[in-house]
Amino acid sequence: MDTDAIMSAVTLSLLCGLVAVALALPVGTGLAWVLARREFGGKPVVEALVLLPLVIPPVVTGYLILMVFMPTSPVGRLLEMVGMRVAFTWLGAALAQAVLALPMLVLSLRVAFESVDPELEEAARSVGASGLRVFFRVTLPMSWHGMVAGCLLALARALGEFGATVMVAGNIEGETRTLPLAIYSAMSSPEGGTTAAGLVVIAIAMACAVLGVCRWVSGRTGLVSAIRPRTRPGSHA
Amino acid sequence: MRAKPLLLMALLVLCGAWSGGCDEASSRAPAVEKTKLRVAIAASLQDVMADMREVMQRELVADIEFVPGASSTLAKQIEAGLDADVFISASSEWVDYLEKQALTTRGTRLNVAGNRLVVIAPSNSSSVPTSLRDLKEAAFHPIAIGDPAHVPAGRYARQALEAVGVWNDLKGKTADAPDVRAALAFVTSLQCRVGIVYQTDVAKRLDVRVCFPVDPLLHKPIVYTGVVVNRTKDPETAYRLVGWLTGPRGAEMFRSEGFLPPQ
Repeated sequence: MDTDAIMSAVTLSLLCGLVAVALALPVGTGLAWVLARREFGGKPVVEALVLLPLVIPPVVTGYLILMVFMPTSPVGRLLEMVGMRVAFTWLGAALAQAVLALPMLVLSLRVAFESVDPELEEAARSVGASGLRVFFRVTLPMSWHGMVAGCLLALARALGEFGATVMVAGNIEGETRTLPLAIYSAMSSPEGGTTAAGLVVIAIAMACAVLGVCRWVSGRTGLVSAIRPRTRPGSHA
Repeated sequence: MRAKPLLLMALLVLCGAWSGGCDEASSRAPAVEKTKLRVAIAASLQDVMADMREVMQRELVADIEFVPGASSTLAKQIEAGLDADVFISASSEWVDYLEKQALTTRGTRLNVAGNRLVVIAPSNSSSVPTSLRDLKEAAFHPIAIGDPAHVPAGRYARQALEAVGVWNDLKGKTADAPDVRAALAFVTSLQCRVGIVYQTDVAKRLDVRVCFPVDPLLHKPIVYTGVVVNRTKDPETAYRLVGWLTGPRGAEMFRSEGFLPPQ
């Protein structure tokens, strides 16, 4: 069993997964809040676009991301000028995972925000609080269970991402070979059987750990209830 | 703020910092500023190059990192932005491919080694093929080869099978692997009863046996071609690496691990 390869894969997965959630969070929060609280003309289109990475094959999403960030593309050239490279780096892996985890994040955050009584937000606004203040003082404290649950779901999705990661970041040991890629590589090499088995056990354990933390955060009420807490009597459902 | 969310955030930050720190530690600059070379190598070269690494690092005064893979996959990745300094392909056509995209440095292209294809089967096989024509038999299907569309080992195998006239009977009967080592893995894991790989891939293995070598005249010559990728930050050391492989030490190491001299 190649313990170095295992350590490298686990460390890389954690790094990329956490960075992916960090990247997806601001975008996801904004999108979820707009979708939860606002009505506008192109809303169905935005909803469809947000769900897209969830339904199209991850390899396709990876291909599109690669096309955008290749060093020869306009965006790629811009980044090269400031010395940044996305393709075939751990940052590219994190970016791919962020895009793939975004739909899950937006879905859970949206439900969490929708479960907050809008009348409370209205009340805060009526006494002069700005939009951001309302979010951080009213919406966030009431929906943080759901937000953390959403982040954990997004993390689990990011940790398990394969197709888009291998497309955008390749499969470079120590740089972009995350857990799922390491399992695939181990299986593709003649003596990797035990390494693959070890990695599989760790992958399952990590997924269980994420779910466990989710339960702990939601106070043992379960994942779904964490996202949509019970409404108080007398308030609108 | 209550304790739980704070504790959770602290945990996440710690995880991120720890894994980020691990990354930092591995890229901390050593006391002496040594060139770091990333060498993209054909999958079949990973063992011999790993054995060469220490000597190469000492003699070239550089830190060398290998990125193994199918020559085709590596070439496409280099095209898409992979930061490699040197590329050593199992066929000249993938070096030609990069040359056409102006991604290689002129005058740094060298043939470093050769190889031979062999047909293999698991050691405990009761019946094995004795010639390429035997591969028509359904008992040996699917045949493990590198993807004949792009992997050099797969292309050479296809050329040989076409030359003896059995390729058309093997459509849909081959297990196309992403690189030659994965093709070997198909056979060692007993998913395939027969495979076509390089003789160097199985030289020291006990779990597979060589049924027969493939006549080199049936396919294009197997020539490992090394070249400097023009994206490199140190073209001089990169070229010295390619040159080292054709020098006495390099040639000796290739020979000792079963590779043929370059043509």
